[in-house]
Amino acid sequence: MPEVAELEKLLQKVALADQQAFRDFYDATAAHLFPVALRILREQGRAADCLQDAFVKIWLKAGEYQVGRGAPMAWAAAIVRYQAIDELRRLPKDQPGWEDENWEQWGEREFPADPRMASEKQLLLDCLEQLPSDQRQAISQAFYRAASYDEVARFAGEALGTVKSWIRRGLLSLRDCLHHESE
Amino acid sequence: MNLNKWPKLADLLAGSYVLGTLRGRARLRFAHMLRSRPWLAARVAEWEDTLMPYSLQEPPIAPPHSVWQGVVAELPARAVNADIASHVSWWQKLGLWRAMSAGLALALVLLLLWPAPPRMPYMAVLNNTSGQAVWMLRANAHHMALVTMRSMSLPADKSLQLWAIVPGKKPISMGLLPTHPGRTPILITPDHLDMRSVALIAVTMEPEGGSPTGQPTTAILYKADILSTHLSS
Repeated sequence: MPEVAELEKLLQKVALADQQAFRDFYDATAAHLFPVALRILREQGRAADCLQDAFVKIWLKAGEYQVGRGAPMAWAAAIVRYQAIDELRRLPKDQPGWEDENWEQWGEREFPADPRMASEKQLLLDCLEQLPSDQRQAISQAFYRAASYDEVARFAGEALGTVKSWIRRGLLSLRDCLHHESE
Repeated sequence: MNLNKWPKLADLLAGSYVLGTLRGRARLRFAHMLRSRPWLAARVAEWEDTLMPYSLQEPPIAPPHSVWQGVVAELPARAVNADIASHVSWWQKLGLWRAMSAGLALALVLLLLWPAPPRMPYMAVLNNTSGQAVWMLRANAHHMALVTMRSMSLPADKSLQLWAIVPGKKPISMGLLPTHPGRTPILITPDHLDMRSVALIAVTMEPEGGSPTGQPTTAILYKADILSTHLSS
């Protein structure tokens, strides 16, 4: 994972319309961001289009990045994620294939090398652990595939209302836990 | 709704936005609210910092080369200083000259000459209390760009927020002002703001991250008329 300080410096230059800095930012991050789009859109061509649109937004929004926030990759990944979620709306529903990967494993993979991210991640992992398992699984699944309430409900074989309330209650408990733990 | 009074709901919406379960029109509405409510954007940023590291743990996969080419093709129209010289030197640095085919050369010429940067017929200069110019705003109907000419010192827990004043309407937030010299890229104005109807712009000092209410909470510090460089006949 690229260095936080280096990426922040590049973003500052990108905000001043420095195209070489933008190229450097792209080279440092694109291969890490591509899988974010790929996992949600599940198809190379769509994910490539999504990444392209997301990088144009990164160029336009670089001035909005608050230097010192300490998470340029999280910021950029969120832009890619939102772009992918927007693309999802344009896709036909019921695409096969989103059950094929084991989303329950996603919390157990390698930590990113960036220590600041690793600590954020550990914090979230600890807080997720404290949730009832139905809430934890529903949130994990919604996150992993950017699945809608509908899709999570279908996958869990539960009523839509139940799943909505799992996710909402889970998010609120997460928020309380994260605030509590980080104080 | 004034979400500021419902911090739990605001946080839930922010979390659902990052998670992606906020969909459809609710998602669009929320994204729209984010632009004028920096405090809400800060809640979203917090969720992003918490959740996004998870999505970055896959092994890296290089995207196809067409992605970068596609990105580049979109940039010149939006760059602030889209003068040809800077593009050329940038391409030279990439060493693409030598490998360039005739077709690519033609594409590059088109890229450099067209489309031109958007015209920005409106401008305003905000002066500090000593009459020195601090910010210069240029805009057209739907785009704006800001140049910050000198540093402003500001208490750590405060932000300067820029407002568009449209006669007969509530002030519309145009975002937080930078306090160090520099230029922004060309930004898109807030959705519901047409620069042609703006009479003045004004600056207030707000809590860090911007007004919690979406409206100015303190008196105006600086203001400036919007001037049009269109010649009136």
